[in-house]
Amino acid sequence: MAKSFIERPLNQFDQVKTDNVRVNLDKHISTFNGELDANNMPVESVSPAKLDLGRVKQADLSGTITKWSSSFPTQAYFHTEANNKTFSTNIYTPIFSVDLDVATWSQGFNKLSLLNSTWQDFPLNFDAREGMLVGCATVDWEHGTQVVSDDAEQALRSRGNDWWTEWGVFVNNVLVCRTGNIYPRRHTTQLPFAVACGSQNVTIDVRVLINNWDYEDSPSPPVATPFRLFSSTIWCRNHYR
Amino acid sequence: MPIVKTSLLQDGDTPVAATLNQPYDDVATASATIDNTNTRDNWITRFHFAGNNACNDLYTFKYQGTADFATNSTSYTTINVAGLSEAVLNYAPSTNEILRVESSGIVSACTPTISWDVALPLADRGKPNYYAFQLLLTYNDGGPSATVSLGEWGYSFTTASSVRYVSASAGVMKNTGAPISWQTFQFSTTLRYDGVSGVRTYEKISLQAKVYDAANTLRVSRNNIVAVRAKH
Repeated sequence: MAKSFIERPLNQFDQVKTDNVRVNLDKHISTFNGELDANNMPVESVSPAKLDLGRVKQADLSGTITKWSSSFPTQAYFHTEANNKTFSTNIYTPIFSVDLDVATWSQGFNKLSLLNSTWQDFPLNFDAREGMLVGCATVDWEHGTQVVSDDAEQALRSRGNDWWTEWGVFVNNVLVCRTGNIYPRRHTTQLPFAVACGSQNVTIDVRVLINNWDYEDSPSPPVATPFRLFSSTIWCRNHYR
Repeated sequence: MPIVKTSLLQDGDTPVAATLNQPYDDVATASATIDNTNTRDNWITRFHFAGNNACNDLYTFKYQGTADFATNSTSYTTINVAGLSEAVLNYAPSTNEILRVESSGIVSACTPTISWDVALPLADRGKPNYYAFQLLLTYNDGGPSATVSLGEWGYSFTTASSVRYVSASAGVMKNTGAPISWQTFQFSTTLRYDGVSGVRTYEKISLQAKVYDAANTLRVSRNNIVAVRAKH
């Protein structure tokens, strides 16, 4: 309600009709019956006591994949993780490891669930409210070996520059953040993202692009080419418009 | 504030004072308890939040100098360059509140005595060149302070390869042994408080580091912690 004018002015010596009285009264009262807006409320009047506490937005998931959410009057948070805590291991032990020489994977972006079916439940999925999705994926991973100690030649060897890994965040299957090539080593990679959204269902996933080559001839014995994951986390803040 | 009712006055009715006054009296009484039945959707703006009532609070720690913190400890040690890397919180969260933490920094000139992760012919050895960071939350429930790990994240020491030293027999690049240093580290996570409002006090968040093999020395220079308390 910006400003309210009387609907049917009553002037001195006018005959008062009941209908006029009712219309004016109804207009006045209707303001309080659902039309109070920013112009009627004093600025700096909303104190903590007048705001709801956070509420769990959707059912939590516990186990090796752990998920939870919390919803507030102005924003909501969603979180999914799989790490050494949820797998009850130490930080030096991968929570999954696959041999890229024998595993099934593609040359495009691979869902983690393709490499390990446990990650089927990992992507965030929730009903967003119109506004922004601001979040971050953090992945602790290692693709193959980076430095080989060759006792026979008493020398250290390395992978070449055509051995790399790239990570991307997908929101509803649209790539919104990518890292570029990352060369062999164990690495914790952070992928921040921010996209506008409507009031809609949203799925947020992190996927990996792998470039690999075979050690078929050397050195002997062949060096393993595992893809290891130590932790994967995505959190997302839905900031309402 | 409940919906305010009005009397139905029709032509020919004779309004009396009580009938005409009743809606105004009701408004005067009920307006002390205005709620979402009385307001339009999206009525609120940032200007309506009281000054001390931000939806989010920010807590930070930052070290922006160039000195190093060195460790070869195999258990977590709080990074301490020119003071401990700790973001002081000192607040009591409400139920379902979110604590969002991000940390980053620079690993400076390290001494990776063991940079390999595979030693032929033993094949994959995995761990020797690992090092890790941890964000540790210290809280208090009324007795002695306790801690919980918000998360751990790992990296590996590595050394530079060189195309100048391609092994004729293997076709695999030899390694110069020169450490690859001056690389960033970064990670973030969130934590939901599931307890009763006001019972627990979050005291501080510490950034810690350790190495897998004490033969390696990790050096950390610039580092920072950013914590966001999401309240409303």
